[in-house]
Amino acid sequence: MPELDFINDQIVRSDTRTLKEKAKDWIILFCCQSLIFGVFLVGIALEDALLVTGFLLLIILVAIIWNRRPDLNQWSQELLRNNRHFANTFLVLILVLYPFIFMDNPYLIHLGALAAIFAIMALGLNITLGFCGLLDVGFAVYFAAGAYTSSQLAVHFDVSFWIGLPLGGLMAALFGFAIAWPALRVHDHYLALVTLGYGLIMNLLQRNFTFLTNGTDGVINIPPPAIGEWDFIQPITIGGIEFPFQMNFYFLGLILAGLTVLISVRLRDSNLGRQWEAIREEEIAAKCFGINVPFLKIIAFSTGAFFGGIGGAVFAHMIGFVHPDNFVLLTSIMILAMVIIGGMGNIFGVVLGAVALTLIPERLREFEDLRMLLFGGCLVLIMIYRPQGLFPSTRRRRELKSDRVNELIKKSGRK
Amino acid sequence: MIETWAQQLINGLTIGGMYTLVAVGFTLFFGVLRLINFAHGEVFMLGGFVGLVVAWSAEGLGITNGIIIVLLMFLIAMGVCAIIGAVMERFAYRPVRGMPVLIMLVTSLAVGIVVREAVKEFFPEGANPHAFFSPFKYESINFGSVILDYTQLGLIISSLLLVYGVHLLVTKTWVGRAMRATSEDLDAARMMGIESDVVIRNTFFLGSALGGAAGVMNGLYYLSIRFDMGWVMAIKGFTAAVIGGLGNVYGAMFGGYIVAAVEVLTVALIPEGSRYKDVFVFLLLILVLVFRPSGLLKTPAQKMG
Repeated sequence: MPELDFINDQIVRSDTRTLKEKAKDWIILFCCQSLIFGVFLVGIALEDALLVTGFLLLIILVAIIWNRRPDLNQWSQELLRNNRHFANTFLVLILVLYPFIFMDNPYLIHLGALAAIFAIMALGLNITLGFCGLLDVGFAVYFAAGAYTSSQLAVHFDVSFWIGLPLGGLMAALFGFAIAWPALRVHDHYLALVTLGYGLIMNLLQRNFTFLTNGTDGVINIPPPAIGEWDFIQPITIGGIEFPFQMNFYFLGLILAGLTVLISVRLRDSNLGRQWEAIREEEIAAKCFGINVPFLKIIAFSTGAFFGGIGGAVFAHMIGFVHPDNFVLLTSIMILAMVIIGGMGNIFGVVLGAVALTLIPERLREFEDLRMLLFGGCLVLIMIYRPQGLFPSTRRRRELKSDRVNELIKKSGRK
Repeated sequence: MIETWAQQLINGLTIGGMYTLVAVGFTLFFGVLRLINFAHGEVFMLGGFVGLVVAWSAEGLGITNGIIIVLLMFLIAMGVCAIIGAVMERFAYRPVRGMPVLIMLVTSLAVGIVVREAVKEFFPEGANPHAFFSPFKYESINFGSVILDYTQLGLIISSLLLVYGVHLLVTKTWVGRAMRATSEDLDAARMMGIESDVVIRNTFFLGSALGGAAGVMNGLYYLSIRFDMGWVMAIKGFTAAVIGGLGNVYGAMFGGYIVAAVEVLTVALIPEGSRYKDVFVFLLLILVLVFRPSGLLKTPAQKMG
C-alpha cells in the first residue's frame, strides 16, 4: 500500500531475504550506483559549455522517462530501502574517492568543496523551511554573519578558525533568533516579506557599517584554517605524491557536511522534528495538541541559521575574501532554489540540489551572463512542471498531488 | 528653513507619485491573485527602457516637440509593459495558480531574474547605465530659493492624473467592479458569472501599465536608467502597498507618499542619510508587517496571506 509508506519508512522491518537475494541486490545496486557516478564524473569533467548543455538535456530526458514509469520508480525505491546501509556506505566511499580521481585538476576539487559548503547551508535552510515550513528568503544574512564573524576575529584578533567556526555559527544563530521574534507574528507572504526585508537591510548595513565589515572593500587576507604549524593551503605529501591543497578544504567541507546530514537526520526523527512537522502541516492543530509553537519556531530559525553561519565561516576561510556582494538577495534565492529544486524536507534531495546548483553554473561559465537568464528560466519551468522538487519527501509529494489525496478521500467514502 | 522644507515637499511629492503607481500594481495583483509579484519591479525597469527606445526613435524620425515625445513615451511604455505583464501572467503565474505560497513566490522571483537578465543581455550595452532623454531639463519655476522644475511639475501632475484614472476605472466601470469583486472573494465572484481569468488578465494589464508609466517617470526625473534599478523600486513599491494594506488600492496611494516622506526625511534629517534611506524604508516594511499587517489604514476584514 503506497499510502502507508510513510509508516513503512519509520518501522524497522526484519530482513527476511536469503543471502543469495541479498548478494543479488547488492550487485545490482553497486552497478547502478557506479553507473550514476560514472555519468556524473563524465558530466563534471566536460569543459565545453555546449557539451554540458547536451549532457544536462540528456539527464532531463532520462529523468522524464523514469518518471513516466512508476514500476521502475517503485522498484528502485524498494531496492534502496532494503539496502540502505550498503547504498550509504557506497556513497560515502565515492565522495571520499572523488578528489583522488581529479588529482590533476584542483579546480574540480575546489568546486567539490564549494558544493559541500552550499550543501551545509541548504541543509540549514531545509530545517527552517523543509521541516518547520517557515519561509526564509533572507538566508544570506546568516551566511554573512558566519563569514564576517569568523573572518574578522581571525584577521583582527588572531582567533583560530576552530574557535571562529562555532562562534560564527552562534552569531548566525543569534541573527536567526533576532528575526524569529518578529517573524512569529506573521505567516506566508508576510513572513517572506519580513525575511526578505531583513536580508536587504543587513546587506545595506554590511556595505555601510565599515567599522564592522570594511564595507565595500571587503575583508581581505583571511588566514586559512590551521592545525598547529600546518595550515590548509600547504599541500600534504604522502609517499612522494603531493596532493593539491584544495583537497584539505574538500575533506573539511565533506566532514562538516556529513555532520550536518547526521544532525539533520537525527533532528528529523526526533521529538523536535515531529513537532516541527506538525507545525508545518497545520499550525492550529499543532497548538491544540499542546505544542509550544512560538518556542519551536524560534528554535527552527536559530538552528537553520546556525548551519548557515557554519557554511559562511568555512566559505570565508576557504576563499580568503569576504565582500557584501557575496550576500545579496541572489544568494538567498540560490540557496532557496537548492532546497526547493532538491525537494523540500528530503535531506538527500537538498544535498543533491546544492551540488547541482553549485556545479552547473560553474560548468556553464562559457555562457557568462546568459546563464543567469537560463537559471531564471529553468527555475520557472521547474516551478510549473515539478513544484515538489526532484526528490520530494513522501509527505510533501502527497501535499502537492492533490488529485491523489482526493482519490484517497473518495475511496474512504468521506465527502 | 521653510524653503528647505518646501523643496523637500516637492521632491517627496515627485517620488511619492512614482512609488504610488508601482504600489497600486502590487496591491492589485495581490488582491486578485494572492501573489506578491516580485517581477513587477522589472516591469517598471522595462518601462524606462521602452521610454528610452521611444525617445531614440523619435529623434530618428525628426520629432522635436518635447511634449509629444514624452506623451509617446508614456503611451508606448505603458502599452508594452501591459502586454509583458499579461504574458507573464499567462505563461508563468497561471500554471502555478493555487499552489503553495512558496511556489508562487519563487516563480515570481525567477520571472524577475529572467526579465532583468534579458534586458542586460539583449539591450545594446544593457549592463551600463543609460542617459535618459528629458525635454525640460533646464526650465524651472523659482520661488525664492525653492526650485520647481517643469519635469517635477509634470511628474506630480501626471502621477495624480494616473491615480485619478485608476480610481475612476476601479469605481466606475464594469472592469473595475469585477476586479473588486474578485479580490473580495474569488469564488463568490465566479458564482456571479465573473470570469476570473479575464479579470486577472485585465489586472495585469492595468498594474503593469502603471508600472511602465512609473518607469518612464523615473527616467525623466533621475535622467539615468539601469537594468538593475527595478529591484529597489519593487521593494519600495510593496512597502507602500503593505503600509496601505495589501489589496487596498487607496491604501497603496497613501503608502506611496508615506514611503517618499520617510525617504526624504531621512535624507534631510540624518547625517549621511542618503546612504541609509533604503534601510529605513525596509525597516518600515518590517515594522508595519509585524505590528500592523493589515496596513496603517484600517480596512474591514482584511484577508491575510
